[in-house]
Amino acid sequence: MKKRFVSMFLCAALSIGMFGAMSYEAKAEETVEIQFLHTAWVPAQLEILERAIADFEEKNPGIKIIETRSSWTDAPSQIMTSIVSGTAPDLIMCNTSMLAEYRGIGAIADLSTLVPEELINSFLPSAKAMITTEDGKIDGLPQEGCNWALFYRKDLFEEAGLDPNKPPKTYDEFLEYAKALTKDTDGDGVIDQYGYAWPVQAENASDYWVQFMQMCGADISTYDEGKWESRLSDETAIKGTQLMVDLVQTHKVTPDSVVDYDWEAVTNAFVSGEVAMMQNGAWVTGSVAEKGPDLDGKWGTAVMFDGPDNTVYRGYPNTFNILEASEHKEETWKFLDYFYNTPSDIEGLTIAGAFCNAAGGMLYSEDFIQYAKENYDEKLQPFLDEVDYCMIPPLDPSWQSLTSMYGNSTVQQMLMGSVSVDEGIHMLDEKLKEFHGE
Amino acid sequence: MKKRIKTKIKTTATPYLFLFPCAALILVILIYPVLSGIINSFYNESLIRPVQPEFVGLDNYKSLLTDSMFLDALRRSVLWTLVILVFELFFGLLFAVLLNKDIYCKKLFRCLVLIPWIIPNAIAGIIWKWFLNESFGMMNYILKSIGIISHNLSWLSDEKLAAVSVVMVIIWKSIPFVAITLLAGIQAIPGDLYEAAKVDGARGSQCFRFVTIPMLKSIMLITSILTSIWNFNQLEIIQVVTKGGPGEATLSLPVYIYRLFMQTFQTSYASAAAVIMMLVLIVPCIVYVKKLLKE
Repeated sequence: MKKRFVSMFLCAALSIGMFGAMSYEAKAEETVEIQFLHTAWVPAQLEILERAIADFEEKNPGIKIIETRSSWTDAPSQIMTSIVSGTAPDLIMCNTSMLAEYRGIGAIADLSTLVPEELINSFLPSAKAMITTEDGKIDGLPQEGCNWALFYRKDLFEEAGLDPNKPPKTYDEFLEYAKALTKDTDGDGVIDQYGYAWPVQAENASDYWVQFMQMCGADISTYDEGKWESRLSDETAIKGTQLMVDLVQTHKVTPDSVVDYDWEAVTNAFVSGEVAMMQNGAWVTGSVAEKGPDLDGKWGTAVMFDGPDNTVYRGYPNTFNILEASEHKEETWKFLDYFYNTPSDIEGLTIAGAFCNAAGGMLYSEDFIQYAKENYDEKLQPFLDEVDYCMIPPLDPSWQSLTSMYGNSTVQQMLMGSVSVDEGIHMLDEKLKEFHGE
Repeated sequence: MKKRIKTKIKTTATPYLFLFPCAALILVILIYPVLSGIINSFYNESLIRPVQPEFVGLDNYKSLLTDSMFLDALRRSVLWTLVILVFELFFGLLFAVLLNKDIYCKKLFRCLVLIPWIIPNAIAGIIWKWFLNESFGMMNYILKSIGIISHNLSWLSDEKLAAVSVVMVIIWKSIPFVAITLLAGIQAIPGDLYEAAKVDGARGSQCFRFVTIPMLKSIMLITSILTSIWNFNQLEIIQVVTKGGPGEATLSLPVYIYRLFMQTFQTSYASAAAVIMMLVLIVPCIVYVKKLLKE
């Protein structure tokens, strides 16, 4: 009797399970699921994103957005392995190196026919450059990003006999200022205040090196007839690298310890007065104010000084991209289209990004710049003044591999003087050619 | 008869059935990836190159043997492992002997000694990164306060000092395990041996040399092998403290492989490097297993 009861119960459970699975399958057939992997982490931004998703799902009952949260550290390998293993998400957030790599393997979908001209025209030049492929196709939409400018200590300028309201504009001026600001303040025979520093050990360390090269007019890597070519051994690239190394080795206006500086370490050095000028991102305005409340009024920001041959400001947005492997490109685009055409979301992100909060958010659109100029303080003005002329790093698919494997360490070796510029740059040129298969 | 055979089969099969889930798990999460890595090392797969991987035989291995970055990383890892071993054994034994004595608050000190081992590697790395900071670090402050140095030392930005710093942090992290294991070994030495040695006129140092050390030999060997394998594989501390820099001063083999695999996606080349690393580690493993089997 007991046995029969158990078997009847099992049969019933199985039948219910099967019916359940069938109805679930039917429901799943009706609903399109979009896998969205993003790296947003600031609570206010997340709130906007989630609200947008909820609103979109409500208006489009047949589409469900499934979020996967990641970090900028984990996302590159997470997405790359998912692409290779055929489990790639539909929609992702990319930074420059990720974009270049995924674009290089043809993993990003062409959106040229979907993105309206009007929307493209509302983006800033660097944003347009980011979303335009070498062949002129549009393959993404810019979202929040950041740019970098010069931070300087007004009080140390005054002590050195420099005008605190006139930060350097040309490279010669900058060098002159940096030399005047480099000194032994306590008379013990050791330099304890340096003119200039930048984050050599930051996650995006190579971007700073790129900027020095671009200041001398270097192309770094060019795309021609479907192939990337290394231009690292060009005179201009060597000149730019030498310019950077000379700050430590020849002029000694940058401390040797710069090789151990990430963005926070260089900020600490700036706040403590060990460094009088630094290049750093817009979000650091908040960090300086927080770390050095006593410095209120004693520091300022300025547009980056011109290079010997070129004016180069660094700044670019991250992007939203739909992956080529996605089976729901249309639905995914529908979500992006909804997001970009919902003023509350864009405005929300503007406020949430709060331009220079922890995320350093800046939306790369004309509207945002207008809004920011009317609403933000003078310390952020130089960042806004730069945005129309920002340059992006090389979107060569092999660039990230070169810099993370060899570039960052070789730059450090050149700065320490253990490898000469000539030797270092030629080695890197060869490695980049190897990656290209040149 | 039939029943007896059935029982026998049941008795023989039962342990295997119990072992099966564990064996299957090991097969899936350990053996399969290792085999897959070995096979991959004979191809030229790179995730950022959109071409079908081709079989290249031993090409990756040949390239590695002429790759100065790889050879330097391998040399560095082997050398560091040996240096760390010497220091961790010395300090580990010292702490073990001290903690075995009847000192004040013995239990508290035994707990305190474990702290470096308890702290996760990444957290320990962050703590030391700040501790060794040239401008604000406690290390320079302490050394200056007691008059050992007059100017701040660049612990993490000078090539030689950075290597010393990383080795120092790993030694600090390894000492507790060695100390506690050796302490257990010391406590297991029969008191009669010391009494007999004393009757024969042995002094304290002689007791240590002729009783403690020989009795600890076996446990010291096993501890050395285990910690050497762990230290050779150390990635987190180096990655957090120096990221392999400045330059390539602290680029160990695991950091090199991590960069190859996770940052440049040269999966086949990284697999070949990992296979060589595995072969290097197999030597102490064989010694360890032999020792265990002997016992």
